[in-house]
Amino acid sequence: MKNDRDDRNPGDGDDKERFEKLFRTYYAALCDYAHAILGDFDEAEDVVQEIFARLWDGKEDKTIQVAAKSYLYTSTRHMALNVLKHKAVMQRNNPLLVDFIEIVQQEGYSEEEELKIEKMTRVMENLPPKCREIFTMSCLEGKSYKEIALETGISVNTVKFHVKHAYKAIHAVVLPPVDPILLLLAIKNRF
Amino acid sequence: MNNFPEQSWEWLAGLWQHGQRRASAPPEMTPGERDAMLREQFLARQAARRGARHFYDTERAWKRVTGRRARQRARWISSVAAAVVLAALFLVPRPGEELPVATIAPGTAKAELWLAGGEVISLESHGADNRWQARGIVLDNDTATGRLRYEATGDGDGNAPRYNTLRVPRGGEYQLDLPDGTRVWINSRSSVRFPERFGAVSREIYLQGEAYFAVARDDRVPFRVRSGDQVITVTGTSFNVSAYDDDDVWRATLVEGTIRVEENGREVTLRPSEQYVLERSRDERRVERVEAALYTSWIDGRFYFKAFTFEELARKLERWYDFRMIYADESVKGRRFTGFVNKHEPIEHALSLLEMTTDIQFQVVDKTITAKRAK
Repeated sequence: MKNDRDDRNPGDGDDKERFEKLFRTYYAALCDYAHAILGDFDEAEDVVQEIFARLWDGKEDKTIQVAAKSYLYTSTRHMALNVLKHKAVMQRNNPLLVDFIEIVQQEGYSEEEELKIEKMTRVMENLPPKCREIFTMSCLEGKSYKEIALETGISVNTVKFHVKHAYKAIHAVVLPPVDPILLLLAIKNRF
Repeated sequence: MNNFPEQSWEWLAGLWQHGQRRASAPPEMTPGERDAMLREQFLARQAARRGARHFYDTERAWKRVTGRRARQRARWISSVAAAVVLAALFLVPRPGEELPVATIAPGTAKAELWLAGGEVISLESHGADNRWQARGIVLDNDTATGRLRYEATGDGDGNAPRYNTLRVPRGGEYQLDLPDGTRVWINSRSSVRFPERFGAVSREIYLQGEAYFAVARDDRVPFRVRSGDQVITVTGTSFNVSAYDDDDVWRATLVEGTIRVEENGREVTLRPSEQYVLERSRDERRVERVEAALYTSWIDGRFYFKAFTFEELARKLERWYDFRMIYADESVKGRRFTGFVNKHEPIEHALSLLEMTTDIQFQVVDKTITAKRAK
């Protein structure tokens, strides 16, 4: 293909420096970002390395400057979701999740979403330890209430209580500001 | 604290880890509620992992990134082998391209092929033509026209059939040539699941979304298109099936030949220019005489419509141009229109035409268009 690319990479002093700086600035943060989506550090590193390798390979016609951050985060998000989608497809009985991932994949990285996640992290850190543990088993490990009850030796109802409590707390973060008219309707509908 | 949908939560949380459990029925919820809860879980899962501290070996990573120049990277093919990620990105701009600014543009020929063997192949409208083969499967991809020819030799291993899936995203379309000579045009946000090798008794494929079929005649081996509970059986014929899971109305439109539509114990045979209409929410079905071209014109680069409601038209446009229509005024939805939209022109052309000839006005912001009545 383009052979001159290979000769050019090492010679291009300025470009290389800028690229390396970009890499060192963002590498770990992007890995954390991908890890949050994937739940696997090795996969996360593979994703981020792949993104930088692609940039490196096509280096001479690339000048990512102004929006480097959003470009890198959007690429990482997209590629991590590709991996997640691939796994869901391989499970063969997961079309709903595949569809959902495709919806999410159409969106780029957003500061607004980032803010929500940060708030949720704080909310979770402030949950009572038992509640957090049980919520994690449900939300992250996908265990059923029954499985959690068996594993922790508490009743299914107590498991549900903890999950509900945590759900309420994080749910409050996702909710948009309450529209008074909608609230009125919601209240009306209950009676 | 009584409105926590605990069953939905439990069931959906399981999807992330192990998919749908066969034993438990999915909870009752609308697609909107389902997506909202999946999104909450998507965010909560990320939030729960954010706290983890991990040491990344940046030096080693730097060497791997910059030392990989020599490796060959095929443009349109990437295998997801074990945990190594080489999945191609068709939505992320290549280096040097514009940054992702959300603007509405006509769709292009793009799709992903998920092979039963685990490979993911990204088919794009740019780049060179490509061939790929393994296990007796030969893929011949013509990127200029957006068409993939799929050939499979041999008899497979005699086990239960394994399936490939061709997935077309929003804003995409693709053509697929099957080994029996059947050609399938696949519309935006649609997928076709087809066996690695067709069986000797029947040719079975699964459709989600919309596709046009020109089926190669073979009276001994019927061709079946399955969508949900609906099965369409043909021997050789051309027809269009629209069966989007987010559309209430499904339509099967026959252009030539004959097809038999079976669905929930009912069975009806269609003649050319007849359309089987299934209204899912009302559980109603009927056969109508239609102008078939209205439902097949999308494969020829235009959306042709006659007395279609605005909402009906907008749904087609949303999938192809990949945007979301918001109605500031609900009465706009039911307005009826006749005309056509050239798929490869910017959407502004269609919008300005509508604005000139009606009292509807549009406002475009990023990837949403708001429709309202002019004051």
